[in-house]
Amino acid sequence: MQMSTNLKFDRAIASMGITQERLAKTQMQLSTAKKVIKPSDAPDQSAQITRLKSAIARQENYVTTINQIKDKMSQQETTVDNATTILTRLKELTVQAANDTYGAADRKSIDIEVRQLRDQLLSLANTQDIDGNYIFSGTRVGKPAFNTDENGKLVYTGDQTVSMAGIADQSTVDTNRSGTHPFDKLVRTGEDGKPVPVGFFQVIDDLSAALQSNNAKDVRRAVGEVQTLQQGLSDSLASIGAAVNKLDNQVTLAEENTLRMKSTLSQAEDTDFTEAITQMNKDMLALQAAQSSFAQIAKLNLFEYIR
Amino acid sequence: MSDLLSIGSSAVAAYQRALGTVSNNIANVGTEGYVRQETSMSENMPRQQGRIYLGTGVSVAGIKRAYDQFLEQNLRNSTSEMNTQGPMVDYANRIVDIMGSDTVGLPPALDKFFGTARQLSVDPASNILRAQFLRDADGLASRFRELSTQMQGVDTETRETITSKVAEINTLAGQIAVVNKQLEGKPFADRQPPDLLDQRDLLLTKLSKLVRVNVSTALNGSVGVSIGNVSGAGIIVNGDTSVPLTVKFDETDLSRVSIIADPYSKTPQEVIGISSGELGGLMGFREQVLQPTFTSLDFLATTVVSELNKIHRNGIDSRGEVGQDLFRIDPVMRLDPATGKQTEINRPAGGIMLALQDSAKVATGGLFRVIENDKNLSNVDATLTYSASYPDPTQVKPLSQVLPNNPSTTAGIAAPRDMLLGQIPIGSKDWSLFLDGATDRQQLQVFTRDGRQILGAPITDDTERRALMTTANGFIAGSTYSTDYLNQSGENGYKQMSVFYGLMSKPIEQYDRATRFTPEHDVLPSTVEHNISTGDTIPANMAKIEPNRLTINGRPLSGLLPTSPAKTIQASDIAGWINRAADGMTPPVGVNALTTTPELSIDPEAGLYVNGVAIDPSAGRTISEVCDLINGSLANETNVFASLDGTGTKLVLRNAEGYGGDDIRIGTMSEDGKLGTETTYKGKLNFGADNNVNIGYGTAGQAGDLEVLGQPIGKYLTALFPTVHIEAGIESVRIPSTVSSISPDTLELNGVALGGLDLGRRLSVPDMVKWLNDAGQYLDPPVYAKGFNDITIPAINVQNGLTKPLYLNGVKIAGTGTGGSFASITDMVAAINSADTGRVVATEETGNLARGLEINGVTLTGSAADGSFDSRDDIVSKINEVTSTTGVTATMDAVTGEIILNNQDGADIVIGPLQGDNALGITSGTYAKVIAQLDKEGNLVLGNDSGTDIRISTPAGTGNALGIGNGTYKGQLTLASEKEIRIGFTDDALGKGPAELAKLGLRTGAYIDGAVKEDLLVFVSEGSGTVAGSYNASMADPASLAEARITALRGEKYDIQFTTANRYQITWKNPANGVATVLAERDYDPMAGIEYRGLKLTLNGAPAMGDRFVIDGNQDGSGNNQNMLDIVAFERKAVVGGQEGKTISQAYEEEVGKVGNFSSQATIAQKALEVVNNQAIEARDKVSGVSLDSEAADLIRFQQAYQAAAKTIQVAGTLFDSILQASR
Repeated sequence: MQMSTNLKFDRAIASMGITQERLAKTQMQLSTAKKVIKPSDAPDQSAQITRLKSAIARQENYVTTINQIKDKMSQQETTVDNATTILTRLKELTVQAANDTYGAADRKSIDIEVRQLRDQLLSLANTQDIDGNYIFSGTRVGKPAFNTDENGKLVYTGDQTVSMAGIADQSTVDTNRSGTHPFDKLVRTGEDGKPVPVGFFQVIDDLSAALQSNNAKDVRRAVGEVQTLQQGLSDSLASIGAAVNKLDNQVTLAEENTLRMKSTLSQAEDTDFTEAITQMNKDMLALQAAQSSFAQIAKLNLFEYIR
Repeated sequence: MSDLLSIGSSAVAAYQRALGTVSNNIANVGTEGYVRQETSMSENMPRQQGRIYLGTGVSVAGIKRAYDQFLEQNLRNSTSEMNTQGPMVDYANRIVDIMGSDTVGLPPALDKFFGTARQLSVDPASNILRAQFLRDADGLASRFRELSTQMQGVDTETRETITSKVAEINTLAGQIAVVNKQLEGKPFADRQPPDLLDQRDLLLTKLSKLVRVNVSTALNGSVGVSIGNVSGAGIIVNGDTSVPLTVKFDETDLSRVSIIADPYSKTPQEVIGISSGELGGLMGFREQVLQPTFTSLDFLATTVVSELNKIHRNGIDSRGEVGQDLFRIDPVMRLDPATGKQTEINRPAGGIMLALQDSAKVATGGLFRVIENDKNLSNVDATLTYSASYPDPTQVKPLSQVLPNNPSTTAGIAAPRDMLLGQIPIGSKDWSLFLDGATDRQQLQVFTRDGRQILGAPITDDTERRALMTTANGFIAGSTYSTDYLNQSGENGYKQMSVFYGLMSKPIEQYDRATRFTPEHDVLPSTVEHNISTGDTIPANMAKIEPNRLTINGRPLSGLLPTSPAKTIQASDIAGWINRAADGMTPPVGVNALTTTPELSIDPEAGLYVNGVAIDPSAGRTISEVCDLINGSLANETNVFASLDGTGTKLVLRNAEGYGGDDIRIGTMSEDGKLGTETTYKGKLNFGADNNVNIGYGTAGQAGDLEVLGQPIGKYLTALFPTVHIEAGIESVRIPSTVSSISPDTLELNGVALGGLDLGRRLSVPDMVKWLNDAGQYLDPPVYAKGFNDITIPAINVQNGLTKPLYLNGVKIAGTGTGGSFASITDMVAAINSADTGRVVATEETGNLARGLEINGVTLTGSAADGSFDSRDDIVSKINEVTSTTGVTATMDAVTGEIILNNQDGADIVIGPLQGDNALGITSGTYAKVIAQLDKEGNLVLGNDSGTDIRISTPAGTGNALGIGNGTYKGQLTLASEKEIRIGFTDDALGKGPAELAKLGLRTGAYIDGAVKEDLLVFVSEGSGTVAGSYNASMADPASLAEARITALRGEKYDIQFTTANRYQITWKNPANGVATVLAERDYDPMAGIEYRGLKLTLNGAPAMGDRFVIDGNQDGSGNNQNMLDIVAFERKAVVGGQEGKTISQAYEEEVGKVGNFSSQATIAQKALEVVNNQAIEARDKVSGVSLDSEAADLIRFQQAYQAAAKTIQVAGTLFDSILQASR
């Protein structure tokens, strides 16, 4: 077959150009360690890569969120834990005071400590976070959880709205706590035999009043009631603990997910060095061969022989 | 001659030519488009010598181009195909790079936005996170904009490329046309110069790179070229002319690119079917990639904006206010680089902006929240959700959409029994609903959706109640029936709304009845009276004053137009207008007008125009000279009088005598003496200091109308008419003809029960009037009843009936025409008024002398011992005895024995006793004369002032002269009082109240005064009826209604209290006075939870009796994250393509994937087509290309042949020499 001189040269130059282009690309992949440098390098994969990156971003965001929640939880936990300690002391004092050997003066002096403990408990119930929001007010975070009403009684002034937050695609956790949950009310049988709800601090205030008035019956009643209050605190502590546990598990899960997706992403977009280097060597060889053969072939010309 | 020498020389010449061709090939080895040439040789004609033919050498037959038309065409086509893919691959990759990039692509921005939203949901009260949320929302918006900008960049670039490709095509087509022209000279292609043909082929190949061409070759080698896929169309080269192409883009549809052939001719044509070549590739890219991708991007943008805004508006911000829009879409402008003009384009993605700037306004919280009561015995936790989709608007239509806002009976709509007529929407105002002609126990019923009956009569029948209170009728499932608030107003009323069931008339200010205003003008703006002095200048540019806007001393002023359409109304026009209207008044009214300009600073030396009259410039002229000029020689032209101000430096002009109030115009003079800018000064009106002028508002008067007179200063009154009284009034329709009694204690008039009315006979209007007045006159203020009877007969009826007979109240009415027919309507009026239609006729048979008799309230005593009448003559004489008191005279007809009573002055005759029978044996009651009148339209009005029946008849019972039916026409009632009139129903008689009211010709109304505080349902029970009404409802559209519902819901606090462990009440307390309203009472279903107007409360355990939960509008729940959770959830919500659709990210990724696939496919196609194209190039090259090797071979070959031929010549020479030598 006859081939025109022009075509012969064009082809040789074109094929060398292609090899050179391939070499440059491989070199780029090696230097950036990315197989897909820009989306158009692998247009059919770019959607998958984008999706993986989104999923990873979301998992990482979950971890941030969980840590944020854990900070809140740990503040709640510490507070409730402290309250439990105080309540234990209160229980000791109550049991002590219930002892029939104690007289009015003894009970009055016990009351001094009871009052202090009550104030400590109140300040714990009205704990604020770093933003100045009350942590036990439900979502009414701008108001203290417990405040005195017009009758001078301490009442809960927050709300019962429990906020949830997503910690995984299918999992949520409660992030706040209404004050009536660690600081539960209890139901007391009233004088008329009917059940009467009594608030957390009312129980302590009643105890304090009983101590002041040397009302042994009410003091004895308080023994059981303080026990109930402590039960409420322990329940809350347990539920916070369970939530923290759940969060920890979720962090592990999210990190595993991230790792798995990152390796998938790496397969899709990272350079396989062995493959890339092999490819580069092959291309270099091909280019050299093309160049030297071209030089040889170009010399083969009939005019060379017409002398 | 065939000899060696000539053969040799022909060969030398031929091979020299051949060598030349070869060297030309070698020389052109690098020339683009050069086609190898070959020398073709042919044997010379042999010479016959005897029986043999001797060869005579060789000659060059021609130089041929090594050319194959089919290979050439093949090359062109494959070039087009291959070049199609180039732009597709390049630009599709650009889109993939833009959309898939980390820095410009959407997913990273979405991830960031939702990530921050999630963090904010954990800590919604954090100001830092709120600010971050806004920042990332802004990031999302700007990412959309950036994407859009980049895509617009691709759009612009491809536009420009297409335009330049089209220009290239035009150039090439032009060049081909030139080649064609040069080819015209020769008839056949092989005679053409080869370089021309080379050029032709090269141009065609270049053209095919741009666009696929169809080529037709003529015998002489010239070509016709067309593009597109329609045969016979898209011709761009035809002979020596080329057709220019232009391109047009569609701003709304990027895929539409029109290539127009011959755009400047009379018949521009769009070329269709361009699919190959670079142009085809670019167009394909725009159609298959750019347009769909851009469209989906815009769709995603609008979806994101509308959905996120919807969520955001459904939450509350940290100030407790309802959220606003988070994003907005601004218009996007596109700069056309060719014209430099900005045009608005529909690219929402390019216009997304963050609409919120204040981080406190990020709506994190839910709209509502629940708070448990401290004293709850159970430890149940409550959760609250809200769904704005309640109530289903397709099911429950606002009544304002169904019912025309017109209380007239004729505007009423049919109301089927016990079927929801519509819903009185929350927030609407002042409803009056009327049920006309109620029968039996029929009622208008108004309910809340929770079964609280607000208006109507109690439904005692269980079956009826169940039939009514269905969810299809708009009731909430499980709602219970309550009449606690039925027909109660004020503190006892439902949400303390003011309601009334019955018939009510509110007092309104009433003026002189003859010229009464329409209601909207009842409260008049101020009016000037007395001591009017000069006003301000009248407004400029008045083109018209409408008629009946103003009155002068009570006389209406007609409309006013300027003296010519070119002018506006001048003060002089108004003065004349008022004076004409006041013509003949005493004391006379004389309003005058004057125009005075302010002090004008003018340049006395410059030229000016006064009222269009030129004053030429004059150097050295002083201001007083100008003044003199105007008052002197120009006085008759300008009609103004000039004077100087106190300082003698400024000019003041006013109207000359006789021109008072005309406009004064001052104009500047331009350099060429023409009129420059002109200022017009308006005049003032002067009403005169002691003028007795009252200016008031006319029937069409509106506030501000006095401005047209320049707001004259005077004493302002608040009302116009001398007799103003405040009055409430009710007018009935004609009472039904069959009413014989009104039950006692069914109706109340202003709260006082009305006794029964039973006269042992059918009731007439005067009976009812008396009955009502008996009760009404003792009320404070009294309520007065009056009767009347008006029958209006259209003039046309009377015209057609002039020859027919007429009997009114049994009295024949005879006209002055032949046989007693009527000559005209006025004749009929006169005949009716002169007829004795008020007389009472008692026949002998009916009389009963044992009965009593009262005439006009005077009880007559007969001559018999027991006071009864002893004969009919006795009756007549006793009646005539008291004529001076009663005005009634009696006569007895000697022939018929009838007693005929007449009232002297035609006044009514009242026959008693009202109860039971009388001695005359005729129906007791009022007998009145029928008065005939013509109204202003010329219709005949028959009537009386007592409301007694009017009987129209003819002897034969045939058509009467009035053209209306024969029969008894009942009268109508009116009630009037200085204060409100209310006709209500006593509690006992609520059931039949409306029917009783209907007996008086009155309708039953359900009224709600002021704002409606909850959606209310309206029904008609116990039979279907017609309901009309009026209301004040501004929001008919569902969106604002939904907004009003949320606002109302958030503005109130609801208390849910368990009255037993499984029954609860929902209560609302008026914060102003602490009065509670029970809104609903239902059984508790733990599965269904507690629903109230879209709120849903779910309890996690069994509630105890007495447990309370308060739902409020979450005004201070800044720690609430409910709405932020909804925003987070939007990340994974399928919003594109319905329920089974995709999330925003997925939709976006799919779009990237689509473009990616397109690009991959285009790349594959490009590679394949490259191979095909290479083959085509090779094939063509094999034939037409120059190979130096083969040329070298040819060179040697022809050189050798040449040398051999030269040798032949040498041999011939030697031979010749030999012969020469031999002959020597």
